[in-house]
Amino acid sequence: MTARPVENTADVCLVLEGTYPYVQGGVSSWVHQIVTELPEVTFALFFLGSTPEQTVKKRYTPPPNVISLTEVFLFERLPPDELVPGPVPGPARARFYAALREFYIAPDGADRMSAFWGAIDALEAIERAGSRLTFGNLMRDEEAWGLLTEACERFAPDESFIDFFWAVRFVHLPIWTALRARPRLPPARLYHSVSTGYAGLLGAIAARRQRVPYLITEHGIYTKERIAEISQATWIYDPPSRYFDVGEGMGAFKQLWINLFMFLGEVSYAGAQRIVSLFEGNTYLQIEFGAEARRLEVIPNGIDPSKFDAACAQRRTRLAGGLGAEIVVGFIGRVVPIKDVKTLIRAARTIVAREPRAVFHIIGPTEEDPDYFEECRQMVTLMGLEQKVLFLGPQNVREILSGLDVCLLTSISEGLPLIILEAFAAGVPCVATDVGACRELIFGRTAEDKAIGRAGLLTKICSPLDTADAVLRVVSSAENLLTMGQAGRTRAERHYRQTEIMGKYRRFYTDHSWSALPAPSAQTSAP
Amino acid sequence: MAGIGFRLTKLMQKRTFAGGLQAYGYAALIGSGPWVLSMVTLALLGLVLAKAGEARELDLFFVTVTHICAFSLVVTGPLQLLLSRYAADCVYAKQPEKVFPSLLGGLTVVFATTGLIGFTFFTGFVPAPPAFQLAAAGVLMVISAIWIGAVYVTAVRNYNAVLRCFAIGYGVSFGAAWLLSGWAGLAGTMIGFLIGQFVLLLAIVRVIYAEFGAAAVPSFAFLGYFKRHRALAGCGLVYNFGIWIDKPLHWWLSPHSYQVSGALYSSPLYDQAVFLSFLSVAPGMAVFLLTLETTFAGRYTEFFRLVVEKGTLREILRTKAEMVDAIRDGLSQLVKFQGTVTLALVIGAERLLRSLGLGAVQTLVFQVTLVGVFLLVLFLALLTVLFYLDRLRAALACCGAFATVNLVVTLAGLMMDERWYGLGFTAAAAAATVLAGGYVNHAMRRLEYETFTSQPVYP
Repeated sequence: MTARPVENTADVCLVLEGTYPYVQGGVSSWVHQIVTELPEVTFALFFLGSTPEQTVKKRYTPPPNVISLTEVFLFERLPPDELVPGPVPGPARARFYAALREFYIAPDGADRMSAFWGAIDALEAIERAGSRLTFGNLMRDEEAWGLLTEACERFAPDESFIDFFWAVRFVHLPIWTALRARPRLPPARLYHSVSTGYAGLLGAIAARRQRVPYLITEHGIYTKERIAEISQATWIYDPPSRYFDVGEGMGAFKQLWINLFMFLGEVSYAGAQRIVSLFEGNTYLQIEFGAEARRLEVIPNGIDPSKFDAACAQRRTRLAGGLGAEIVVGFIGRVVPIKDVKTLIRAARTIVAREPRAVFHIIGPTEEDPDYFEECRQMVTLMGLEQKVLFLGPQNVREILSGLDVCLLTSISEGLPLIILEAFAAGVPCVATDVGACRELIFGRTAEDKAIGRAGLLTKICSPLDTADAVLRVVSSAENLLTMGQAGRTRAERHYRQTEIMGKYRRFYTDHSWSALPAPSAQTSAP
Repeated sequence: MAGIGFRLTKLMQKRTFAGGLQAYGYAALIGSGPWVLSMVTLALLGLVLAKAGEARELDLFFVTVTHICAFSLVVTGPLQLLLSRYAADCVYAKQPEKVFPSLLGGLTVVFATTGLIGFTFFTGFVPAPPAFQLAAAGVLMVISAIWIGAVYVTAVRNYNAVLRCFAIGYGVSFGAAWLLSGWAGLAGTMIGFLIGQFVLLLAIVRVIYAEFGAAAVPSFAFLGYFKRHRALAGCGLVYNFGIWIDKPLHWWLSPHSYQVSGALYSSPLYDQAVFLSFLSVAPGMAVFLLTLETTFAGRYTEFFRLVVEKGTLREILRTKAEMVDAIRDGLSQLVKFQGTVTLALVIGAERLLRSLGLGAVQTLVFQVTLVGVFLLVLFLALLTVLFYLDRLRAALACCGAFATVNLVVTLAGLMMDERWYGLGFTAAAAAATVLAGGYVNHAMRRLEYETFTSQPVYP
């Protein structure tokens, strides 16, 4: 490779919220894969974290084509000069607050999105004029106070004002911290955020300002996850319900936070020319949260099937002589409640009763939730399954797969589980709950994909009988195991090949023709 | 999945309304109570002792006590307000056991400073018998200490006991001064007065101990308040300076003044008329206290209760409107009541003063300063509201205007003629009233805005 001229405009700026390179997890390893496997593309990383204290050390070492790393901490204390009002000339300030008012207290049916961009433009106009509006302005300006009281009168006249006041202030604190970071966004030919939320907001702002394409990849659905988090939160004041209105839902203050994240989602979706999700189920959620259908695309996670060639061949040889003395059902994953190992154990009892050859290997770390693990062990003892259900701890997945007859997943919730792809690559059929991407993986997504055949069966969640039934049907014969295993292998090779998937992102990054779709935000940009 | 956990929990749980509910109620009254008392005492002493005989001799006693009152009030002014704030904070923080030690600490500080100043001044600059000099220094110490004690007395609920203290204290002062004057002349008068004041101080401390009784070890923790509450300390100093400055200017610069002894001067033409008009303050103060206590303070407490205890915006604003009404009603009552008293006294001034043996110039000064005192009561009312609202800088600005106008106009008046006498004080009270009115108006208009927006983002 020839030395590339040193320049500071990256091909891609990845906007990352709470992930790579500081936090370990599925999203982070995906990002690491992308930057590592596309060495010809230069990346600038823009990391949004919570606080510096929580972000002490890097979990990944980015490769040399990552030319910069910028860190912003959303819950870090604002510096003192940010807490006093900046000297903003009256007319400029008035324009900003007018736009802000239109955004918050817009009449029904008004275009909140363009009001939002109007406020951002007003803010940037102030900055261009050499002045600066601070959080202190939002705290102390009389226009801001007027807006706050007007909003309270309008939307929460019967709520506790002090809680309204603090809720509004705290909702705006991280948003403002994110907006303050605008000047630090590195120049790039394309912005790619790996979630909506604050990262999506900044991605949309940067792309709009520099008139370059903006791409979103969502592994989970950010808005949905935040809503779930908020409904559980105990730190937000929930006024006691006055009329036992169970159906009413959450209190005004939780609604305030939810509105924030919903709006961040909408801004992100509206700003992006392409919105990628891992599987089709998530595209429906994205549409529900405001994404335009024509911008959506499904690009799953990938795998390199060739790495599993040996395991696949070994297994085929083993099954050629029919079912062995033991039929091994494997569970690969952490022993935690969301994986619902207990349902697996209950199913095991039924399966063993009808197919005495069956044994269950539980493979994966058990220390994350010791209480849950202990309960599972006791269940196994109570049911007298000590010889049949074995907790093996973490193992080398590639080696262990060849010994499995079927892979079982009982999760209550999943995204696109990598373990199914790995099992497919090794030719192991899967029985999984009908959550996340499992249906598309096992039955196929497109017509052509479905034609490959079923690579296992789906079950209802929390249903030991259904699970037992499915497992028994899959392991009914060696032939069945081989056919379904082959379907999985073929599916992984055709549709989930890592190199193909990287190829798609490479094309996103190098050829921007996909972004020809006019983004609404570009149409409303300031003259 | 990408995303950030919420870190706001801590921020939310730590929020407070620091200082929002501090008890300021008596702050301004504490600033005013002692001088009302001292004026009354001086006026009575002047009248009673003047009739008793040897005018020249008694002059020295009278003038000495006047100087002591003036000086002690100005010097202890900052400490009075700071100690009242400190004591209020202790009570608010549910630590009443810290109150009494702070009194002892305050007394120690006052004794040390005024003792040193009094001894130096009276032995060095006031030619008189040594017994008189020492007794005068003692009176300065004890009277200063009484002003400090008066701060705490306002919080004593046993009002009868307090009244008894003052009755006994002044009874003994008069009696002992009278008796000892026959035995040792002028020095005896001063020693007798000292004994009476000392009895008063002891009685006050005993009453306070009965209320807040705890460890009798002095504590100096309040000294930190000098740094933390500069504006408050400034108010105490500047207000008392403003109330007194016209008198020494007349002592030192008036063509009608004369040297009593050494550094002590007197200007009876001015002093007696002014002290008399100050007596008219009593009814206004009583009315004001009543409205403040019954309506304004209640609405004030309700306002902050609603703020903290989850009131709606509408409820909060309604209570604020009621606060404004309470101020308006209180002031209008004050104007009616004090106005009537003032008007009556202005009309009857000539007759009244003639019966007391005072002349035409004094009548004029009396009339002018009566108007000044009327305005001063209004100013005090507004100042109290500013203290309640924690607008200490505004209060300081008002006190500063009061002192400056008094100083400048009094000086100008002294360069003119007798018709100008007293105008300095009255003009100062007028200016301060207008200014304080403006500040109160502004503060009330922005009350909810300030209450909320001044809360720091981070605890």
